Amino acid sequence: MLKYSLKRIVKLIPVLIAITLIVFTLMYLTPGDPALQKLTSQGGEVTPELLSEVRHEMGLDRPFIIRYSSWVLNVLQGDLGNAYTDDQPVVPKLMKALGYTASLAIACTLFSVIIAVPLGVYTAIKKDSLFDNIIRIFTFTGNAMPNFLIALLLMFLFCIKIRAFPVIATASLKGMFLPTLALSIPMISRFARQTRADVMSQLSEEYVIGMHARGVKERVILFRNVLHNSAGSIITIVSLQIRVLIGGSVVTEMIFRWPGIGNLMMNSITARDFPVVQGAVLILATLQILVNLLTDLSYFLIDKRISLE
Amino acid sequence: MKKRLATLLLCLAMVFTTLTGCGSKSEPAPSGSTGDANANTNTSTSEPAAAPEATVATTGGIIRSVEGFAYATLDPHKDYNSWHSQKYGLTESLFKLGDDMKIQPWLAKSLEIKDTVAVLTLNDGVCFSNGTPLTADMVKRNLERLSEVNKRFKFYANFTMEATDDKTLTITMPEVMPTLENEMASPEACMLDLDATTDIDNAPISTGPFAVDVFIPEGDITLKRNDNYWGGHVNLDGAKFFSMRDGQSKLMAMQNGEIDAYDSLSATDIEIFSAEPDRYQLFSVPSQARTYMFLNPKTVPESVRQAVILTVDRESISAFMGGTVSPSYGAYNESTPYGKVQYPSIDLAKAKEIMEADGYTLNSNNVYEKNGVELPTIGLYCYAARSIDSMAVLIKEQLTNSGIPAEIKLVEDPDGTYMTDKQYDICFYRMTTDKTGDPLAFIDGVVRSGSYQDITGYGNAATDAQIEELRFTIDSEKRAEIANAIMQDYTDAAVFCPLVTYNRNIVMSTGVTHFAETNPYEFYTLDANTTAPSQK
Repeated sequence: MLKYSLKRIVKLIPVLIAITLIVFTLMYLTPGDPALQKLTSQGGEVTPELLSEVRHEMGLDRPFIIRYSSWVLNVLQGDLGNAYTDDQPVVPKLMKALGYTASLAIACTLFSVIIAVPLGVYTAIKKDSLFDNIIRIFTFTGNAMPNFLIALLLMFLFCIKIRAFPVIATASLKGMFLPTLALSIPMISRFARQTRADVMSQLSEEYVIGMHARGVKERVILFRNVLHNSAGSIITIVSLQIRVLIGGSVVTEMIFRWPGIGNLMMNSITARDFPVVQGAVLILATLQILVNLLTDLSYFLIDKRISLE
Repeated sequence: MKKRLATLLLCLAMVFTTLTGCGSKSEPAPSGSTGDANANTNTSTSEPAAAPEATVATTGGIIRSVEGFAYATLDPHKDYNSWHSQKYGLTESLFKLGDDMKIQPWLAKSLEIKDTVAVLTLNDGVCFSNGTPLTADMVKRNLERLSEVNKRFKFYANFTMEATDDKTLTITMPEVMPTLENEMASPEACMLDLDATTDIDNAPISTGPFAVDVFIPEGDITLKRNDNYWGGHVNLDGAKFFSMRDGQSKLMAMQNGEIDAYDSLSATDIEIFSAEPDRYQLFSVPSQARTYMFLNPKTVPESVRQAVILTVDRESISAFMGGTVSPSYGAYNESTPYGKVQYPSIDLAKAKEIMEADGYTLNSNNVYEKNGVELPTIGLYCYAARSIDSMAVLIKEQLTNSGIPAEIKLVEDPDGTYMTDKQYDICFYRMTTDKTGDPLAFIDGVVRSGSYQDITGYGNAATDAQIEELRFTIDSEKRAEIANAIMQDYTDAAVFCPLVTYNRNIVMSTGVTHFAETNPYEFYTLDANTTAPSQK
């Protein structure tokens, strides 16, 4: 497995090179001059001479290839450059924001899995019961509602009506509750539906009928066989959601003032702070690839019959 | 099985609730509460605040507001950071702009300009928050630093400055600069104790009624009273500005009593707050940020341009925007001496008269035609930001109803290169037209030939000569006369059409006063007289 992991990591190098080129080119082609933004962000007047001077100072007048190669060389040394807005290094900014995003992502995933998997299993066992129908309505609704609406409704309910939480949250455990809930509701809906479908599919398999016939306890069938066999598809959907969460939920982070990567990217895009955006995209792309690798490895760990090659 | 599953679910829910429901105060709080020294405030961010019932103004206490943009440094000389630091009452410029947009003394008492020599005299008793007096030499060093770190103020580097005594700075300029006093009223012309400040990004020591308590880069800022304030007693114990971008969250925080005041209200906010006059005070004052149209003389004939200007109904645009904007009929506020050139309001009859005089007639499709050829559709080029696209839609309707066919051309180009490349019929732009109480900046940046926004190609030698005269004229009456003459010619050319002025809409809880609620400039908010609400 180690050999396989190393091989996959080595294969990442050309992918990452391609990513740097794509990221840099996209930023280069994106409309919006950072120098002009810097000079006129409060609506002031600008002269062509001043604009040209600031563009030169920011290195924006250099040819594309020079700018790209210089950036890549710095990236190889772990330097993602300095932000345009405050001239501070990009790496600590990203690491700080990524920490918050990661903690939110972990909380959401754990919370969602803990709630959704038992719910999915139970509704599969109790297919078409009243409970199943109620949960299906909830999961349909949870899937259909956009995140910003869920976030605002939760804020209205918990902050304005129940007054259990402040609107102005801090990046603490308590402050994490509402964004976690807002992001988890659609995730729980998806996971529960997926788990229900998989478990139902497994329950109709011949081996389950056979085990029942041999008098194997239902608990054993469910936990040792059915859930085990359903784990692959559950892991797939969980890993997909983790990848979405790592990218930062811009709207949820903004509404709840969560200082994660989504919030940082939104601020940076508004300010045309390209070094921060480029750095963020590069790191996120790398993380996405690593999550893919971990997902593949987890398939192997769950079912040894699966070949890593 | 059922019981076990139910028990398992219950236990898991309890574990999560326990994990998330406790310990918030011991956790780091990058966007707010870490090191919040103002624990004496009734503004705890970890507990919901009580609903603000009837409130009265008192001295003391903390005012809480929000900041819509997260910025990473407080260094007021860099970029536009001083626009925020001055709002917080942390920094003060040498002069200030009053509610009437006239320059008033602040850190400086006076500036006397005679030809190329200016004498700046500091106000009495000005000192930094650490008690160190502000000297003329420190002003010189600050202006030198400003010229080094902010390209917009590099002209200070061309000056020879000498501190004649502790309170007098003599400035020798390479050429006459009548707008020097206005430049010194910019928030950037603020003073820092450059000797005592050790962390200019996070804790600059300045002269305002408040000093930095805790600043979290790209997060919240907590301010404490400056007990050494040179301007006298400071009412509040402190202030807190939460970094918050989302408009809905701001609204709910205000409704929940977690903040006491904020600006940049949306039309919905205004409607909601105005329904509760006992709890909220609403103020609206036109700012100096305007949206205007440029009309391309190369693609739109003069008669059509004039008709367009007369067809635009600014009042209905303003009504549609729900109080967030006011109609604008000139580049400057008409109350200023240099803002006397104002456009006429909507006059459809006159527009029709102009069109008909040029040979256009309305055909059966209600479209003007000339010699049997319909007027080509006019492209309204705009970028979807700051409600400009909504304005364009309304204008399209107004023009179309009056027989001038128009279509929206949304352009994903925030720099407006389509404008500078002159690839437009009519385009929209937003700009602060009067940042320092003087007409030159706008005229120099828009009307002068070859200027960045001379996108209509209007600039000409005669106007340039007038602009040069304006540049070097010291007498304010004469300046106003020249500016009005320039703007009259510009108006007559029908290439420029002011549309709306953005309002500074402010909501304050009952009991809050002196929140700069009547000042048109967004870089003023707190001062020594600001009061916060307190419970009865």
